[in-house]
Amino acid sequence: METWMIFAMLIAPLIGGFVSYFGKQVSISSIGVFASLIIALFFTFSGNDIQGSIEWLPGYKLNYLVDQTSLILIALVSLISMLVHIFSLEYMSEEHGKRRYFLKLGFFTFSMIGLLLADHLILFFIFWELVGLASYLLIGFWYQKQGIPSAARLAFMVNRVADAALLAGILLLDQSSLNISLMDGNWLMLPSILIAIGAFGKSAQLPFSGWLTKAMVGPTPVSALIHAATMVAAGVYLLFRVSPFMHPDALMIVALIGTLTAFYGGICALMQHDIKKVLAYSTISQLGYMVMGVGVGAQSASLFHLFTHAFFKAGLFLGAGAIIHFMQHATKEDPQDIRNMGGLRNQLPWTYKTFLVCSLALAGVPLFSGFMSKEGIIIAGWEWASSIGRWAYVVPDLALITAFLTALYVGRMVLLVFWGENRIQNLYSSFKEVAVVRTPLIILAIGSIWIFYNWNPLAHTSWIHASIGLMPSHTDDFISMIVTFLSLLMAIAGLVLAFSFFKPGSNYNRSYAELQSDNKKILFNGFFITTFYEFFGKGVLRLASFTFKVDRRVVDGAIHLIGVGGVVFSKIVALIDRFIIDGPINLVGVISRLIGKALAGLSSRDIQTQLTWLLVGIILILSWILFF
Amino acid sequence: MQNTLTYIFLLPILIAFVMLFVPAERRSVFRRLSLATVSIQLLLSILLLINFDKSLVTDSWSGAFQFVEKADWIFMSLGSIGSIRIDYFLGVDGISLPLVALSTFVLLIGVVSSWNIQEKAKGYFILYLVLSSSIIGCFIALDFFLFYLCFEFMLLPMFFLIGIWGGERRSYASIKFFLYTLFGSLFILVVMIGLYLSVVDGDANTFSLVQMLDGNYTSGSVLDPESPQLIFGYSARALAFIFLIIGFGIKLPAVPVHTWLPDAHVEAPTPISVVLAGLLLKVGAYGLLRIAYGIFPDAAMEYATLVAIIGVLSILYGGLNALAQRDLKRMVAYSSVSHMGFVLVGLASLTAIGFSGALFHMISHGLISPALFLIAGVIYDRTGNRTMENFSGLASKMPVYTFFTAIFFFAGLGLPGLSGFVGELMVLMGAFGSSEFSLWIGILATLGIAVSAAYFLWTIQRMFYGKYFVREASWEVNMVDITIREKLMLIPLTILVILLGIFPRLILDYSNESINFFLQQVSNLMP
Repeated sequence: METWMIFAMLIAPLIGGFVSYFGKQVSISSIGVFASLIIALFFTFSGNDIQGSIEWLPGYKLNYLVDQTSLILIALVSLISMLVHIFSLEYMSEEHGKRRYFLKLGFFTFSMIGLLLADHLILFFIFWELVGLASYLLIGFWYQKQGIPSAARLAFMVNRVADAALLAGILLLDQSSLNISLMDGNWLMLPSILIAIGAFGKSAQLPFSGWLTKAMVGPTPVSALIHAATMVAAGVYLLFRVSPFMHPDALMIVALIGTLTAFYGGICALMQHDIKKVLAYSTISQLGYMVMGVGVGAQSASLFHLFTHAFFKAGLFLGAGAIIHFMQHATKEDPQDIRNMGGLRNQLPWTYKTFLVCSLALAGVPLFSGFMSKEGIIIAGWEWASSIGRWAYVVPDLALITAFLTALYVGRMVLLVFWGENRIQNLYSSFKEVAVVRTPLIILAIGSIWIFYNWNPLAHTSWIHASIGLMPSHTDDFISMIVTFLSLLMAIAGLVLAFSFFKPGSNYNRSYAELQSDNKKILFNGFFITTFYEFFGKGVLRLASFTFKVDRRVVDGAIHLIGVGGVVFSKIVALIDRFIIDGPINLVGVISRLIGKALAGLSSRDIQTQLTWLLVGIILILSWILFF
Repeated sequence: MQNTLTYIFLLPILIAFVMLFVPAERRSVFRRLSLATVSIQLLLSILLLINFDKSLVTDSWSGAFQFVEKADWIFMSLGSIGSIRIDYFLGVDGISLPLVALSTFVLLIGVVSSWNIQEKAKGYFILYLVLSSSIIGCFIALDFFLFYLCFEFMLLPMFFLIGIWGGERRSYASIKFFLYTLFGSLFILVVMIGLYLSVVDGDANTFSLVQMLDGNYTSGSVLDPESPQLIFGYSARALAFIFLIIGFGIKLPAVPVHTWLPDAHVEAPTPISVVLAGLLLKVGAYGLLRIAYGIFPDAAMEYATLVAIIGVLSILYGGLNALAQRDLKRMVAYSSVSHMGFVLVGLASLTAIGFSGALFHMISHGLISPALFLIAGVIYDRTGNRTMENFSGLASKMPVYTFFTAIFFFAGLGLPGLSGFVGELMVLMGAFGSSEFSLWIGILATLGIAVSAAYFLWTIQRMFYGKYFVREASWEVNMVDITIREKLMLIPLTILVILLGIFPRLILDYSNESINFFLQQVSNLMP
């Protein structure tokens, strides 16, 4: 029974997608996701772990495991997926291929739930690839538009390279125990690093982060679901599951990469003027926090941040979607450019309110969820650093600086988008915040308020920690006090600075001129990471055309050489045959012909000559008889 | 079930003989007869699949084969030298049966794909049926001589099918194909004679593969594993193994003896490409598995690293070459080279999972590559052109075609849920788990999955995404989505590729016992 329910939970979104595809009624697809949500919630409250296995290859079983962690995340994924489905009903209503769109969304949700159910690493990898496919298909949804096909391909390729590392890492482990829940002991360095690389790819950590910003060309609800809330967090989830077995040195690398990525995302987000790019870099930055959290040993804090981030970032992306649609219907200018916005709080009141709540959560302001979860990670980072040594403080320090940067770019974004006056004259749009647009935004905003997680707004634990049974072990209250204070300070400082720059009435053009000056270009382009990919790709192509040349000239050339050699040799043999072997034979023939000709001449003369020769002949024969 | 194998094997020859007496003007008779013949073959092979005892456990090769048929065939007394005895000896085990089933299926697809052949239809279908017999014969022959006969006989119809019904450079391609493979066969012939002189059945020398697999050598003979003779300082067994690697490696094809394949594929008509990629390459792989690895496991162990390196080279080099192609069909041809590299790596690992993976990959590639060639054929039929730059945005014009293309491209790049992934995964598991060679082989082979993604996705981007565009205005009228006949071929392939991707045990349950026994024998024969 339970097995069937789990199977139903997995397959329901896919069925929903198919029914809506063939039934031509796209709203059905959200019912499938809703079914998954209900089943996940049912299991969450029933409370016991369920384990099972599938004999996939003869004698090779793939285990799945339903525990509290996976259930909480499945509930999260199906909830956000459902909200995105609902939001998309309006957002995609004018699209030609919307049935295809909802089928792909259903396929994504199916794969994501499968990924969360997997306990065996191979089963995990199977769904890991499938979510990558869903991401590729959804990024490429508008495949006819310029630049979109290459963005989709870039996303898939970057992930594929990381996945190859992940697969190699999995296969380097002890093959008899690939079930995560049954693992023990420590892995070697190489598999740990390779598996971490796999996670970096999916979670857009340095140096793989470039695909995520490119992925923003996809439909905005997709960005909310896949490229902010769920799929990109899969890497964090993987690290969460396997970090107890990873090599300590590999974990340290994970912590450092996470920290660097958090900082990188924060500082790049500051320079963007495409609202989706701001959010994308912000996602990279927040994922960096989560990865860092796992690296410093605070898995539960990372998972908590994953959870809260899913809500507020999905809320921000959907809000951005509403804004973009509004702008699309209002102006011919770039609808995603925040320089064209301004004063939108009058036109989009609901979007404004929910966007503000989610922004404050992202900026790490108390009373909102982001503050609590981020704080937990930074505290853990600080404690980790104090146990390792001086240099390790770079991790919590950069994390705090990133908190400041976060508040700064969030403040800038909100001020530029919603405050002040409309920067485009006569702004009128047919877009309305109808119920299917409003409801998801409100639910996601509510999910970003502190009370949803813990009664104490300054706490950094929640019911999530309790239910997965991983409470952070704090030894030092002093550290947590300091961190709470510092991160509060950073958030306020960031917001104040943002206000002083971008307050209504300030000269935006001047502020931009400062931010957009030449030496900031590098930040605007995210340190040219995608240029580096292109460079790498070109290198591979050059290598490919080189090997093809080798194939034509050298490999095939050698064969041709053998062929030509064979022909030449046989020609020589033929010559020998003709002149040396056949020559003497022909010579005999020629000679006999000459003789024959000469003799034949005898018979063609006149009768007198013939008689003469006859006489000569007779004389000769007679003399031979007589004298010998 | 008696004589079913003979029916599958000889029915096409019989029908081909009957066709000789049908006037050439009655074109549609030939294709209908061929369709009926191949359908009967498919039905018979399904019967075999149903009646096959999957759980048969055996302790020697002589008990390992099912549906065995044996009859005296050729017997020649050579006076004081002895006698030559060749049997008509057929049988299948869990390794060859899936390949027989695959063959009948792909041959059926090939007939459907040949439906539009008008020119010299009589000759075409007669040759096709002869080809069909010889391919099946390779998989079911248990007598080396019979195997070799079928192996060689495949060349003849193939030569004419490419040389007469092919593209522009058809005569170049067909001669290249013929000479190349003939050259390879000579190596196999040498080994066959060596084995005949070394292996006995009772007290007479024999061509029986079963006896060869069981290792009934006369002591002191050329290939006797106890005291192998040295030839130029090398053990005769090692040389025999290398000869077989060359001989079957050309057929497979393995880098660097692969260059006949792109030319043959590009010039061959679509149905012949389908059969060539789907089945002929598998014959090479099957020969390696059954003969090279079955009979010479000691040498295989010694040269495991060499074979694995050839395999990895094929994977990466073939993949890079595929990336450099502008002709869709040539790209698919090079992707075949890349995929068959996985088979080599799986075999070289000498592990049960690697062997199963190699077999599974053969089956899976036997479904994917025919589909890929059909896909290339679709565009060629419509425009007479296959150059990638000449097309763009086909997804909006031909959505169904694009759907099938995407399925098989993703199957080709090893997406989980489709059959390509299973084979690659198992081969890689074997490679990483093998004690025969270094881990780097496995890691490099894993890189292959990134390379295959590169060329397939780039092709999708160039041809299917973007704004719709075709180079010549005259092609425009022909650019219609795929026809019912094309769907009839692609849908069954799609279903099988998905089914095998999700339930690989559909194949592996057949082969599991056989492969376990195989490896047990291998480990027994190892010194």
